[in-house]
Amino acid sequence: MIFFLKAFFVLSVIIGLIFFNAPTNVNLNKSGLAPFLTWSHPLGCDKLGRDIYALYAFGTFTTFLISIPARVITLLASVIIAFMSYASNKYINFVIDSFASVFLSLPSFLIAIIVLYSLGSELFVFYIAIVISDWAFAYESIQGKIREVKESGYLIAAKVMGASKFYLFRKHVVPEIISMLFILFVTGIPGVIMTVAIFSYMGIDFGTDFLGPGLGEQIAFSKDYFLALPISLFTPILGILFLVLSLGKKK
Amino acid sequence: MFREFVHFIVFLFCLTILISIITSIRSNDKGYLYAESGMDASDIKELASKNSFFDSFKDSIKSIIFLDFKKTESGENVSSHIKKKIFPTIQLSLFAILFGSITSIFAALSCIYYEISLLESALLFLSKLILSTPIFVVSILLFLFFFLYLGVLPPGGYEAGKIEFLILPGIALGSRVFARIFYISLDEGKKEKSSDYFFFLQTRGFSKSRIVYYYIFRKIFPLVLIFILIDFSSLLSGSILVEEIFFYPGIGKSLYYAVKALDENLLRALLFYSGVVFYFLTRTAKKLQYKLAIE
Repeated sequence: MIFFLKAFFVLSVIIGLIFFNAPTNVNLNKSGLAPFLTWSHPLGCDKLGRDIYALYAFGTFTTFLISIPARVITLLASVIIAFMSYASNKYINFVIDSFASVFLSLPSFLIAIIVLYSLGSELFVFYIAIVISDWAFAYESIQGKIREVKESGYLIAAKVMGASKFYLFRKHVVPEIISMLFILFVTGIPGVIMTVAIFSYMGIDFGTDFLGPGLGEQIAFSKDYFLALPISLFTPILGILFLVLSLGKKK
Repeated sequence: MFREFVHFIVFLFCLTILISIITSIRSNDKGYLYAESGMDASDIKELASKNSFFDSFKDSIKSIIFLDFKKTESGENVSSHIKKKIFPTIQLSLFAILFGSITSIFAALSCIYYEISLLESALLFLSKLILSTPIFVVSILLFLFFFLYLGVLPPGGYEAGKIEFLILPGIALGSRVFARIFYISLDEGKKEKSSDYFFFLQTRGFSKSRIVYYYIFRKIFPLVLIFILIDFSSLLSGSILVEEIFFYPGIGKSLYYAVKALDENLLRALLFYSGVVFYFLTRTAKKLQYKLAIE
């Protein structure tokens, strides 16, 4: 059942991307067109005459495009910081750990919003914001695994035989944390998707406006005429829900 | 105790550095705030002068030691500004936590008591749905349903002593608490139900309702309490949007305003207080967790 739902969702987005143009043009002649009247606009049009199905498909696709690299970059940054901590002495280790506890104590969304408002709303700034706000949790989890691996006999043996710290990290630590990285990826992706939607709701776009408005922006716009055209509010909500349920995993 | 104190001092130092970095970045390009004020260009330049990291660090240290965060951009004293917001914030967070935790624990225990798989599946599905939906979407749906469609609750705002202004923002914030605590309570409650302790109480002749709603509740409550404490930190993130949607005058709205309006002093104070509060909450949760693991 869940597999069919996911397949249906992926297919609905792909069909939208293939058969519709990006909903960037306003056409007031079609403003508020009801759903299921024409094949060219199966779900009707919103108040600005943009196709609702295209808004859903392109909005979902944009959110997907932004979220996946953000999570991957966050995990890469966490691995690099974990390596720095692993390779350095106990004082630097202490400083990194202390900063991690500070970042864990502040709400990640708050940090992300401060970074975005401080550095501007571009895509690479969004990635920086996500990395800065989310690195500490992934870092703590990776550190836990590294502490476990550090005590293993084969790593101590390799160390005694003169292996460098980088070699030990690459050959012994990384293979051990790969599966954990995958878990961190699937458990963290819902948070990133929701953050993208929230920023979009707040009117922050990341230079992807050529693909049409984001899902959050669609919600912000369509809530004002919900009673006249409820479908235009529900489609972006469904887009977010499907994305989170398809890509994420229960913690 | 001493170790804990040192840990806190190190945390405070790192927090001050972070706050200084953030506030020094936020003090850039303030010139546009005075663009239409009719002031001279030289005065604007002076007012909009950028703070270096070290200036900001010195200011942060002074403010934190003397707990004096000076004035907001609008000329209001930061401490009195926060004092005004603290009562509505405590009210809202307590409402959200109580609503979320009481309903979720009761729902989980009822699932265990009645053993209706349909009820359990429906509540699990609801929890999953809530956790997969951004909090602003939940807020908007509540707003549309209760205010626009049913017309039974106010759309937003705040009046001291009137609970109806807390209901919609409180439910929106508490929905995520409900979902998380429901998962944990159900899981833990089921474990307790299949334990020897449950059978022992049954053989002593206690009624099923007494065992489930009293003894199992007492067993799972310490663990649930830890998660409730941890959930407090997620409330601040959520409150930024929820308070904005429902025009609620709390700390979350102030934070958003401080970030948007480049209000360095207000931002410094709010980051400091929220960092310290969440530090204590997470440390307490960790200590409780450790104590529980030993027991």
